[in-house]
Amino acid sequence: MRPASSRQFAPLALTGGVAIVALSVALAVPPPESAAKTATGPAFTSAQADQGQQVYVGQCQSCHGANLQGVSGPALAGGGFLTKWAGGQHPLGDLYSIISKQMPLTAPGSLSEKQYLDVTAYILSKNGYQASTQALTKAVLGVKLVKPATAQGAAGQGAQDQQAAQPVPADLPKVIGAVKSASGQTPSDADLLKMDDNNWLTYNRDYMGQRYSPLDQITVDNAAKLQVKCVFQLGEVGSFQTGPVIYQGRMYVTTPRNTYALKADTCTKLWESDYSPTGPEPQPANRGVALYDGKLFRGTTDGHLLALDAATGKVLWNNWVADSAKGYFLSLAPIAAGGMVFAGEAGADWGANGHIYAFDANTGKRIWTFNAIPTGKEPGADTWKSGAQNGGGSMWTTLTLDPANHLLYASVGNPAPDFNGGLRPGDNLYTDSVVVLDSRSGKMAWYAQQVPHDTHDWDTAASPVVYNLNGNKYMAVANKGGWLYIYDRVTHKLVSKQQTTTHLNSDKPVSLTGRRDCPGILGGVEWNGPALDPLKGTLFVNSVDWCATYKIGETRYVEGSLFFGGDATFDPVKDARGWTRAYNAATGEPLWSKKMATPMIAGVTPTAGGVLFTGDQNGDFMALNAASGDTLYKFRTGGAIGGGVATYGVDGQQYVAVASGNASRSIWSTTGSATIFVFSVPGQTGK
Amino acid sequence: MRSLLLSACLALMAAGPALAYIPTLNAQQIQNAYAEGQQLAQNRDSGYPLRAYTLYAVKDTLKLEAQNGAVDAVTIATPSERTRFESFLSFLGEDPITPQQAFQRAGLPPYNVAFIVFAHGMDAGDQTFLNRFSMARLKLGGQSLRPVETSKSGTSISQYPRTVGETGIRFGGTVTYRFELPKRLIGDTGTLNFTDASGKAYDLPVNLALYR
Repeated sequence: MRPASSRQFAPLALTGGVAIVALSVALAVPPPESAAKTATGPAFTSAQADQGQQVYVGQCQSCHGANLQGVSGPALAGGGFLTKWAGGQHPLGDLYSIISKQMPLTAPGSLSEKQYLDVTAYILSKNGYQASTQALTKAVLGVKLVKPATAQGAAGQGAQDQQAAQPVPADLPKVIGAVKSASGQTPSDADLLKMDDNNWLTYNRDYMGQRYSPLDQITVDNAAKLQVKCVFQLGEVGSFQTGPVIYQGRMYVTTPRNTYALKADTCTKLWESDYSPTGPEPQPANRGVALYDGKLFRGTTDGHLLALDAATGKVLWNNWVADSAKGYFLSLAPIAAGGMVFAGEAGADWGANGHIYAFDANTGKRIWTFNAIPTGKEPGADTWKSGAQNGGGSMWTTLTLDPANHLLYASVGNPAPDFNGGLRPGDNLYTDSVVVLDSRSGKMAWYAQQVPHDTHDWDTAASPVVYNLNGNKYMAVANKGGWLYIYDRVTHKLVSKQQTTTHLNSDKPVSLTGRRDCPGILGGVEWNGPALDPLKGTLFVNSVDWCATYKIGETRYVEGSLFFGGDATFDPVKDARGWTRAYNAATGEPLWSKKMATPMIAGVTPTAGGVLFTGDQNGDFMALNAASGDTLYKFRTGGAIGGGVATYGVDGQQYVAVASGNASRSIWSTTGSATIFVFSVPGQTGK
Repeated sequence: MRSLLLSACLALMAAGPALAYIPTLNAQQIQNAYAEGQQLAQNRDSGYPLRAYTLYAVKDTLKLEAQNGAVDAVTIATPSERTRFESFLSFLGEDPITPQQAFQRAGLPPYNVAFIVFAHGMDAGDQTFLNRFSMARLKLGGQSLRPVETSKSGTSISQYPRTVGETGIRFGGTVTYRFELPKRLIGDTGTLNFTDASGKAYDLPVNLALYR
């Protein structure tokens, strides 16, 4: 592959993706204060609202929630919605236009005009507008909405959850409110450093990100006898990408807003902790918790980092890390060690510059900050030749820690603007890179950039894996560009670069007339990265094989010149596939590859039993033979698997927990509801 | 020798096209415009230069400010400039075309000019802003001309990263007003008038002698 800097013009986004971004961002942006108020709500009848409710339940509810509170799609009721749409600036026709032209996301424009008007009436009714005897028609869509007299009116749960917006402190990150102590103190540093085989203590099981379990009760020989031990339905629909954390028989999982503790062998709920955002939620996603010193640490969709009591779920402290109105949110599972919690923000696609932080685990106070996008005199700032006010650089997933050397490894995502590289000439450090920091000070030790000057949205999103083999020290990372990179941690040199998915025209400029290129902007390795079997010296990687047709599109006048972006149209999602591949972890030599039925975005988990656990978008949980990739067992869970797959032991029995139900109608066309499935091979206790 | 001539030509372009509007291009002029486009596209980071053809631009095109309404910039398109542009674009897309094809794709018949308005939505969700632009008038030599064609691009999401207080995301697009010029007015001065999606009115001076 030629360096990405040779390719200047790239996709803007898929149409659906643009729609999602546009609407989400729209809801996140307050209108000008001077907006003129020109009229009250338009007329609609209660019959229309009733009929609209039927449409809503069938077509909209799964994304926007039963109470219009927003799930995978934005909230359609409440303060945020009214702030956006009822500021006296928008004709109702603007809202109707989005609904009627872009919804439902899987079949835009497929409903009748009457259905679109009815569902618009229903949304109005749920926001406190009063029905009348006159029906809503297209003729009155020009009326500009102002807030109804009832303020948030009859808005749904989302509105109730959405607390009054607080003024943003100038000195973020900042602890908000009181700080409390946890009722327990485990696991300790020692517990995390020398982990009991039965535990799975971080998003990727261990600090080094290896995801390898020494448990060997489930083997190549008996994996076909796996059975469902228990199921826990969370009662939520939407993004479900959690990586379960399991400690001494307790499992902790998250949804975008909420946190749950379960008995890991029976799926019995122990507690639930619900979070109410106080600011906009740019993207509702969460990938899990860090567990340390009696506390759970998790990010929120509105840019906060919470510490919860692991015993009860009560909030111990709340650090407002970043302003979500600027696009920031915390989707990653933090990592904690040595009295500190390490985390960073996402939001690059909204133009927010990323940071990596260390916080005091007891108080939540910020200890140090590393700017993922250097400015001023910081090293790397000169790689932004036109400045980097909004350079991007998200931390999408958990960090990796080499505790012996106090080195923190962080994958940094794509630069912003995503596709119009002409607006940001230069290599754009430290985007699409792994940065290695001294965990005590936040000072950079070294870095490796996978894609200089990215114009494809080819984030380095998934966590790196740190390991030693045959006396050598390695770091492996895989990116959305469809490559696995193995580096020498001593020389920092690239040892091997291997393909994880199909590449086609990936080194060419975007076509004027449209050309199919691979991977598309959601190809390669997403948020779950490589896993290592340290005994066999093998790396395992899941990837997405999904191409797109790119065409020069967006043009932008900037400072006397015209710059070009592009448009991308994905192949039909039904044609998207995935891979599970194995490589020699020292040389990168490919060992085997298995074409999968769907894009593979779930975690992959090798074990001492020679089994590889993972799952696909069809909802199939799978046990593969780690030596060959052959399928040993498959079970359809009923919901797409896009989160972690963890294995652990309770009372001598090995279990596997799978997060099923990552519903994404807009991008992956997947369904399901958030559910934890726990599997075991019965009768193996103690063996 | 040919490269010397081209270099001289490009230097002239960079300094500003201090040549009058050319209403109809001969074969050599088409060839020259084509060659300029190919040459310019070899530096992929620099973008396509439009400063010399810019009638109006806000002070900071990466920053949203309410008083600027919906318009980032207004440029003038001439047969020569558009031929150059099409050549530039074809080079970028690795889609080779001939000089004559570049001229044809330019879509500007003899004695035509177009004004390209680079615009954005009024908020992050506004995708209909192009529909709220008024018709334009070109007043030249005391004569008021209506556009023979008004075309609108699609919209695509973009960023204004220097915006204060918000993420600065907007849909962007262009409105293009094409005018047919009476022969007697091709070296004249006047104004371009239109109203943007925010209701802001524009009255921009036009001097055809400044644009080749």
